[in-house]
Amino acid sequence: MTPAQVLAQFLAGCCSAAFLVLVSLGVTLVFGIARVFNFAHGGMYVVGGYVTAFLTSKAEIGALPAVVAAMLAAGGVALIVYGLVFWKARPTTSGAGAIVGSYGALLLITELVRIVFGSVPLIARVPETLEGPLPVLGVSRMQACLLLIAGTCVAVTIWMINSTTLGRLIRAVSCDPWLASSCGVRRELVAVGVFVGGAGLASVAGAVSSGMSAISPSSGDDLIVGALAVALLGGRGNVLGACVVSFLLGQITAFGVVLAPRLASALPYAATVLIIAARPSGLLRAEATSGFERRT
Amino acid sequence: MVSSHRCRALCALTCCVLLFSCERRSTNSSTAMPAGKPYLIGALYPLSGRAALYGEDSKAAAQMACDEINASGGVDGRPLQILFRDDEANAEKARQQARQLVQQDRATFLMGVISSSAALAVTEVSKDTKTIFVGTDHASGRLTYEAFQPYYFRVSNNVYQSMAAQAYYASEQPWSRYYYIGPDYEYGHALWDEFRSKMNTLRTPVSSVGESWPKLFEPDYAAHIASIRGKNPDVLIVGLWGADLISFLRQGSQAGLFQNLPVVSCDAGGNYETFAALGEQMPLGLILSARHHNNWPETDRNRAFVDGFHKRTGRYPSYAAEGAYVGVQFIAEALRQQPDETQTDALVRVMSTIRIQCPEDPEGFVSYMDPSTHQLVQTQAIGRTVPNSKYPPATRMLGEWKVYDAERLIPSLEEVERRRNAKP
Repeated sequence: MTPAQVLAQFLAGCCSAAFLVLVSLGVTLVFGIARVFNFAHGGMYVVGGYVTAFLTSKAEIGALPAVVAAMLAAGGVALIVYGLVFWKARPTTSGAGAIVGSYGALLLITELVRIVFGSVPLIARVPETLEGPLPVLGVSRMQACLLLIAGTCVAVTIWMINSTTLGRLIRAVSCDPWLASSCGVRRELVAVGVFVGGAGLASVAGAVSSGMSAISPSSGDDLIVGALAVALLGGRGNVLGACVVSFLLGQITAFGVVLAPRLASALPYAATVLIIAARPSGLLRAEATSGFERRT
Repeated sequence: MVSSHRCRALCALTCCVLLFSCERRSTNSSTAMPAGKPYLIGALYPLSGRAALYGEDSKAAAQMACDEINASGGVDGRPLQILFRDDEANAEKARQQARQLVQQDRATFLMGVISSSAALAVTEVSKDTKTIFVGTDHASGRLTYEAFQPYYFRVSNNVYQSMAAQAYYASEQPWSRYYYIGPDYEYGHALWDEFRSKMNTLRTPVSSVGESWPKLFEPDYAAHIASIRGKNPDVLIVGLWGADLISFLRQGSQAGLFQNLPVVSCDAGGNYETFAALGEQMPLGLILSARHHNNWPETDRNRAFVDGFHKRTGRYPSYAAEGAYVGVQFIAEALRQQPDETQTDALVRVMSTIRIQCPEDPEGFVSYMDPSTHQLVQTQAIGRTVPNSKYPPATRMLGEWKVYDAERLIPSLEEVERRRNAKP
C-alpha cells in the first residue's frame, strides 16, 4: 500500500466509524439508563430515513425541514413504543419482556413503513452544495457532512451528560434509580426523555444515511445488531467508549477490505468477539453500576 | 391502569385492521372466471421482508397473466387459479409452503421463487412429489445444471446467460485491469466465477487488480470506494443488486468515482428499481442489463405488458414481474397442448420443447425451452444509461443497446455434462 492509499483507507475508516457512532449513540444512551437493548431503535432509524427521503425526493421539501419532521415523527413513534413496551415491562421483568417487546416493535414498525411507503427503496435528495467530492483527500462532501454531524452529536451529548442539570439527573437515574427517585427525581420522566432523545439521534442517523444509502423498510434490522454491539463493547452507556469501538471497527473494515478482501466482512465480528473475550464489561468502564440488578 | 390497557388494545386493533384491509385489497383483484374446474398453480414469492418488492411485482404480473387468460375463456374452457404464498425468501419456509401447496391445496404446478436458495429447496419438493416447478426469477445456475431434476423449468435468464452476454461485451473493449465488487454470498461469487470462466473461453482472460466483498445489505461503501480508487482499474464489474446497488452507485457518484471509470453490471444492474430510486442521481454512461427492460424491445407485446402492469399497480415493473407473467403464460401454453393436468410426464415432455413469445423477445425471435437443461433460451440486450423521462419517477433509462443472440448465451452440451458430473 502506498502512503496515499493508507491515508485514503484511514479516512474511509473514519467515515464508516462516524456512521456507526451516529447509529449507535441513541441506543448507547438508552442502554445506559434503561439497561435494556432497545431493538426498536432500528425502527426509529427507518422512520427518520423514510420521512427525510420521502419529503425531499417526493414532496420536494428542503433538507433541514425534512430532518426536523423526521425527528418529530421518530419522537412520536418513540413515545408510543415507550408507552406500549417499556412503561410496564422494564421494571417487572428485569428487561427480558422489554427486549422481546422492543424487537416486536421493530418488526411492527418495519411492516407499517412498508404499508405506508411501499417496498420500493427510497433515497433522499441532498442540497446541491453537498453533491460531489471535496477537491482533496478523495472524501465526498456528504461524507464530510456525516463526519461533522456525528462529531457534533457526540460533543453535544457528552457536554449535556457531564455539564448540565439534565445530564446530572440522567447520571443519577443511571447510577441508582431508587436512590434518585427517593431524592425526588422523577425517574420515569428522565427515562422517557432519554428514550425520545435517543429516537431523535436515531432519526438523524436515518436522515443522514438516506442521503447516501437506499433506505428500505428492513434497513433498521441490518443495523440494529451492530449498534447494540457497539453500545455493549464501549462499556454500558459510555458514549466515549462507543466512539472508540466505532473507530476501531471502522478502521478494521477499511484496511481489511484492502489487505484481506475475502475476510473483510468477517473481521469486525472477529474483533467483536475478541473485545468481549478480553473485556467482558466493555472497553471503557460502564457509565454506572447496575442499580436495578443490585436491588432485585 | 385500565386506560393504559385500553390504549394498548386500541393500538393493536388499529394495526390489525390496517393489515387486514391491505391484505384484502391485494387479493380481491381477479375478474370473472370461466366455468369448469380450475387449474391450480401454487406461487411462492416473498411478500414481506427485504425482497418484498420483487414478490409484490411478481404477484401482480402473475395475476395479470392469469386474468388475461381467464378473460379470453381460460384453457380448454377451464380457468387458471393461482394460490399465492409468502415464502419470506427463506429456504425452510419455501420448502414447507411448497409441500403444503402440493399435498393440502392440491396445486398441480409450483411456480415463482425469488431467492436461489429457496428455489433449491422447492426443486427438491418438486422432485419428491413429481410436481412441475416453473422458476420465474432466481438466477443460480445450479438449478439447471448441478441440481437439475426433470420437473424443473426456468423461464427467466440465469447467471450463466447474463455473464456470457457481459463477457462478449467486455471482450470487445480495450479493458485489461478488472476490479470486481459483489455481495459476499453464493450469488455474488457465482457472477464473478461465471464471468471469468466465459472470458477464458473467449481467450480474453480477466486480469483482476482487486476484489471487494461487502456483506449483503451493507449501507456503507466508503472503504470499498477508497480501495477501488487506490487500485486504479480500467473497468469496474459490479454484482450488487437492489438497495445495495442503489447505495453503492449513490456513494460512488458522490465521491466522483465514476467520472473516468466504466461500470458494468449485466445480471441485475439494469433493474428498473434502481432507476426509479435514483432518478436524476443515476450516473450516465453505466453499462447495464437485466432480465427484462421496460423500454426494450420496443415491440407492441412489451409495451402492452409494461402499460398493463402500470395500469394495474400505478408503478412500472421491476424485472421480476416479467418472469412471473411469462411463467403463467408458459403453464397455460403447456396446458393448451396437454389439457389433462394429471398426466405430469406428458406435460413435462410438452414443456421441454415449448416455444413461447415473451414480452422481452425482440422482433423475429421466439423464446424456446432447451430440452437438455429446461432453461428458456432468450436474447439479452446490454445498454448504457441515458436521459429518458418516459418511465417516471426514473429520469434515466438504458439506451444505445447491444443485443446478444440467445444461442450464443447457452452452454454447450459438453459444458452441461461436465457441470452435472461435477456435482457433489
